[in-house]
Amino acid sequence: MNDPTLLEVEELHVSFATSRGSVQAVQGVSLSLDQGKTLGIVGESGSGKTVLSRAIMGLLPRSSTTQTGSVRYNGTEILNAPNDVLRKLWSTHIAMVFQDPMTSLNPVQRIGNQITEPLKIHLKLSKVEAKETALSLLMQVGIPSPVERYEAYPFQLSGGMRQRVMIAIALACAPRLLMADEPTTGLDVTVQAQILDLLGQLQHDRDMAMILVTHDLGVVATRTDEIIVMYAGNVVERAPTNVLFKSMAMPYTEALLKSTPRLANPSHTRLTAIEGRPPDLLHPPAGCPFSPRCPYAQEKCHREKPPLVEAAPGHSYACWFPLTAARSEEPEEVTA
Amino acid sequence: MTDTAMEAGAVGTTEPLLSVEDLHVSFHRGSQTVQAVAGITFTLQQGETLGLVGESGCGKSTTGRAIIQVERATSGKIRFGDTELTALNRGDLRTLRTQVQMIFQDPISSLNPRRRVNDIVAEPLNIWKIGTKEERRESANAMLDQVGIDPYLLGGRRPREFSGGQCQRISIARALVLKPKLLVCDEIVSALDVSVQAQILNLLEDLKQEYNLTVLFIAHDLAVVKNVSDRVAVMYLGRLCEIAPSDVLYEAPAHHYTAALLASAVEPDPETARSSAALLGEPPSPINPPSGCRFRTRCPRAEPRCAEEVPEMRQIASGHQVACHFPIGN
Repeated sequence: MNDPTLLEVEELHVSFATSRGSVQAVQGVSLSLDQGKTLGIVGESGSGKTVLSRAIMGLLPRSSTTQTGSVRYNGTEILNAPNDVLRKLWSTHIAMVFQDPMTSLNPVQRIGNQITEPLKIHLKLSKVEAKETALSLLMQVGIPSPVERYEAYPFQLSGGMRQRVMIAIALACAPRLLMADEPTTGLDVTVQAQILDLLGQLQHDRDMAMILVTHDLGVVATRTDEIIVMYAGNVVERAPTNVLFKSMAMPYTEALLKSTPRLANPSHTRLTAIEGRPPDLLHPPAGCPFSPRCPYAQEKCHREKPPLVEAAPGHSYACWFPLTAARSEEPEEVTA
Repeated sequence: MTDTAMEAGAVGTTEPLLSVEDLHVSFHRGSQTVQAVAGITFTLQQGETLGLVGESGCGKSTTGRAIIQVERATSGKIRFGDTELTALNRGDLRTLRTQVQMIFQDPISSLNPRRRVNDIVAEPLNIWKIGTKEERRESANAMLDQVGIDPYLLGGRRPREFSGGQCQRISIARALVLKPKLLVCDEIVSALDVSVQAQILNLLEDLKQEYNLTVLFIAHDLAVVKNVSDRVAVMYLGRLCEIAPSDVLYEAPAHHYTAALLASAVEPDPETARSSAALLGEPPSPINPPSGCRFRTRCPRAEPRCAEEVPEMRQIASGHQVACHFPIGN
């Protein structure tokens, strides 16, 4: 904890107004990220991970969402900040790489224009300087023959190349924090490895902080310092990466890991599926959100929502009957 | 080996259920020809699951579609039991499709949004007029029940009222209601969350046992393919690189492309050596593929011979075939 904190989120709540009522997509999330560090946010569809990342970025529509709590960047409150304040932060301080490289680029603008735009607007570079910087960025993100690609349209590039262009745009104004929302979903494994390597390399070179949002535990296992596991709008476990994989405490984290097919296991290994489905966020359950699907759930779990408590330094979880305690005794036999 | 294929072979007389021989599928785009599948050969034994892996554009889906004859083969043979599929006329092909079914990637768009799910599942029975109306309804309900959809509670709903995982269950029910022999699964879990993916993979495994299904399982996820398959075939740019029993392929890959794929895969375990990009660049265009071995432009082991001579598929161990001049471990 020598590094100064770059980003601090406290008790962030996000809800959407829909015709059927209010959907509580993020229910009181707190996190902090130091300079140069990588935080992984893991969860399945509907866990609130994307909403959380967009709320931090200030990208959610104001009219239909209610956002309360606090998001501080470098000590400045940016939650519900006016657009002109956010606009000064975007690109130069916080930048984002979106999931779908196919649709996040403007299809009718050349690649070059899309990279030089932030350079001209935020860094006030001249046309010539901007082009030079853009070409060097294309080179840095590993695009072959950058001079030709500079003139290309997005449709002329493959998915992996487009994601590289997205990364070049995000990094154009040297942000201090990069938000990468599922940056490799939809890419082939060999390309995924290339993109993850590239992100890691650039982050290291620039001493940039990164939030890696993904559904894949494999992606965050070797590339993050800390991991947050989300379920139904809540952080259910938070720990340094090594600690999380070595001594996970929350049954949901374990279930997620056990349901993932592993290369190390022999073929036809029976997977441990999580039966049922996540709760309806229009009417979140009173108790632990995972309790209806949890193999270890007891009466208390259905009744009372467990708070996220720090049980060991840096390791917090929201569970009444954590696995580490259960393992030392008889699992499933633990009483309150 | 616990390989079902080999056990079947040991009995002696068993013919493969499906045999694909030198299959080519080409598409024409203006004056250009895209060789999506460029000469692949493999067999599937009764009751076996063959995994077909490769990256986007390698021709794995086209292969699956050619087998059910949605895409017509440019040349080559596809034999299903005693029938040559490429030679069938429309009527015979229609009849044959009762025995060969396919499940697609996107579970929601592959179901008719306007129909109730019990009608969707009963449709194949209605088309073939199997049994009375009551019997059809009953078998459709039984099938839905078997895939974990309560037919009485949920049968009257339409696809949009279900989640992706449930829609995939309904697709499976529709595919199996005619009791087919061969099931072609094209990326059936790639759109699903891991916890749901595990449910679907377990379900497929159970149904496979129950109906003695033969499955061609097409996917890009190496761990998923390993989990369901008896044997795995790796495809690159329209050709097969390697075929081997799953456990052998993942433990001792012989083709450099297989090794690179495995090295690139991410594992949810910080202890494993951090995967890093084992391959640079991206596959070349199938419009103008490299001469000789198609992987040579990205292969760490490529030599002049690889550009001149197409490596033939050859056997390097029992049940393990590889198409490489310089396979790993030799």
